Amino acid sequence: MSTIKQLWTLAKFQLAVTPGVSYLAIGSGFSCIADFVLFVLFRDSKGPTSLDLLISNQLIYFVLIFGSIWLVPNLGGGRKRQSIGAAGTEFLLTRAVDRHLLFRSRSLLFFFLLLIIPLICFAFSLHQPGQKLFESNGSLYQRVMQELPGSMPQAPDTDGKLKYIFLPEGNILIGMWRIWSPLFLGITTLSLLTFAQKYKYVWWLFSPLGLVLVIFYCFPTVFSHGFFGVERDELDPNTAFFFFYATHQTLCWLIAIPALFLSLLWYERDARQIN
Amino acid sequence: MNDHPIQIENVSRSYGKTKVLSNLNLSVKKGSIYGFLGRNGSGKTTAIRMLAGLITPDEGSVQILGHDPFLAGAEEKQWVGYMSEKGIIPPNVSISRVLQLGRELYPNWDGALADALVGKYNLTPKKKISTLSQGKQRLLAFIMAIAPKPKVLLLDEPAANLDVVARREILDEVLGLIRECESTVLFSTHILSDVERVADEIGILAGGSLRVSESLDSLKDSIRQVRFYGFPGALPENGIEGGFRTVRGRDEFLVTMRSTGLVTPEEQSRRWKCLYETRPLSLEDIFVELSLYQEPKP
Repeated sequence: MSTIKQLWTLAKFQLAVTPGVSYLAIGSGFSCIADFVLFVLFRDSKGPTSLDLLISNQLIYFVLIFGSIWLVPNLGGGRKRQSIGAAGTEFLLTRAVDRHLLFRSRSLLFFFLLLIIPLICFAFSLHQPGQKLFESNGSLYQRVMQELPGSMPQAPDTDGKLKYIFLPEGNILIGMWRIWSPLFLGITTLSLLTFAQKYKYVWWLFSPLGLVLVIFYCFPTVFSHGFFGVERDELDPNTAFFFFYATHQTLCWLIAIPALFLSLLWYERDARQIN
Repeated sequence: MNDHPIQIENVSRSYGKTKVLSNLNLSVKKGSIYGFLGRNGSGKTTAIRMLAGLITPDEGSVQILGHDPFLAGAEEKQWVGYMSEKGIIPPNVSISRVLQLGRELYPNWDGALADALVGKYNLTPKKKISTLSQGKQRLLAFIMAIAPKPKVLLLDEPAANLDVVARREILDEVLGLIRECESTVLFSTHILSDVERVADEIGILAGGSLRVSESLDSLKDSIRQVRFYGFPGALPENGIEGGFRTVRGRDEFLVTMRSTGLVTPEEQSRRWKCLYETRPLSLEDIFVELSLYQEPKP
């Protein structure tokens, strides 16, 4: 059986075994597509929007967390069991499959689910590259004007009240960010799990320590629109990270692509040794 | 390799500080059925999981059809059927989806056999694994192990949770596979009547290594319980060298020993100047005696 055919067979079976993750990916995708498509296609009817709204995508974190359940071969039975019943690791390892391809299929599927919706969004952004931003926060307005390429302040609307910034390739920039940020988090998660699964306390990742990680991941975006109504002056971490990305795009992608391959190889090499 | 598709040489394996297997040696002849016996926790499942390529030994080597099962790829694994003692088939999928996986992965998949067994065992293809009883899950696991027409079949407690009829049907299928494909079967069980029914050879695992590994007839012929009695004076201090378990009575010894061992009962009775009588042991007796026997520490 060829490698591709085996990967395809395993990926299909994995999807059937852990349907929850697919539902999450689709669920998060709907929300993701819905807001993005609305902002892209119906921009004029909806009016300018804020950068915060466009760059946050909290639901993708659930795909990250639950998707990673596939990736840890000795998760499921706690400390005592060596392999998963629920995700079918032991079952699949004792079928006619190449050990490394089982783990490769899981990591590829994980990134596929993580990135498929952002990629669709990106396709929409190519259709409508320009974006109008409305920023009431002064410091954010300044940062957009200074750091996002091609930003132009626009004249007030007909009623004379609304003033916005036009970004000729804003949707493409945001679309790329929406691919890069989950990719970056996916690489981080995969590497973290690869490192941690050698140790018998890996299950911590899915208990209190896991909770800490979730907060670590989610905090920047979940609380990005102000905490209990308190206005902020400084940018929240997620927005600051976006500006870092916007000003270092080439560097970010130059790091992400090799890191993706290295993390996949590292994961596959280590996971196949687990026994 | 051709004559012995299953080979375990000097294998040791520990879980933490607990040594489960210690210098285990085992080989199974091509086309034979090997009954793998041992008490709970004796290491049977560990040995079978090694043969299935799930775990590696700390020391020694394991080979199936000439390959290290842990490193074996899809090509080699298509000739090995495995049924775990636990329910390892993912619970969220349907029976038909599991069978479809089998069809896709195994070039030799016998769809007609799989379908016939699904019908015979009253399995409804649309049902999810999680809705099946333990027994039905085991029957499906058996179908998944046997339908690829494997050259080597590893069955870990295949009879657990099955009724007598299903157990017999499974044993019949195993015998059919042997006849048709000259497969080699290793199966562990606690049901000794199953072993007596089908096994060509028997291995009893105790203390991490095999106490015996030979044919059932040879085992029953050679291992006997010998009663030494009529001693002229007090009972001797030492037991018999080379014997298994010795029970010391007030004026007699009951010794489980090989009638063809280093010291025969006749020789021993001459040495002790006593009388002796032998009695044959059932497989269950032999199993109990060998499992309870503690090997002297070197």
